[in-house]
Amino acid sequence: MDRSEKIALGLSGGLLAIFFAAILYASAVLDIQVPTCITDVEPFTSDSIIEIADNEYELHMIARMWSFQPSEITLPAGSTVHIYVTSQDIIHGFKVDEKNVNLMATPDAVNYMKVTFQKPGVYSFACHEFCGVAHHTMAGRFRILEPGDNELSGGEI
Amino acid sequence: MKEREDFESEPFYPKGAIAFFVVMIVVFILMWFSIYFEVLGRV
Repeated sequence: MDRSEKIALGLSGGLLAIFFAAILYASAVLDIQVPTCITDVEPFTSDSIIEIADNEYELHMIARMWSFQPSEITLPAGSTVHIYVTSQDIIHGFKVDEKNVNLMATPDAVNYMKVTFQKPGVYSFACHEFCGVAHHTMAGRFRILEPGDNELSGGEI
Repeated sequence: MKEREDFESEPFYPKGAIAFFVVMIVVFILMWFSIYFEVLGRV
């Protein structure tokens, strides 16, 4: 093998090793997750948001033509939300702006992802899987309040 | 005939291929890490 070929192979292999190490770092140290399909639970039939620990919530989100339930969720900054999504009719999507959350909402199945909202603000979410004539109206939002703001209302939590 | 002999006796060095490879690696690194840090910024 020519010396140039050895250098090219070595560089390519080294680069792949760096990429792989970066992915392992993100997964193990920074706790970045990928969507998970929960197979051992029955899909829920009603939406809910439950505080399971201090600043930690479990959200059961239902998607249907053409809305999410709940469509507006108000939480304090620093909240960690365990999001469980299912659909009651056809396949929908669930994508949260400015976050890594990108789930499919599928009938007879529950998909899961965890997200933490550190910064206050409004994080919109929308269906990103074309689901019919009013697909573009299928959206909602997380309202993340400043610490100490007690405007937690509307029956969200 | 003499010109051909001179050409064949020159040591071959693949400058173009090496330049292409280096640029390709640099572009791959930029693309990959720009997406990577975008994902990290959304945690």
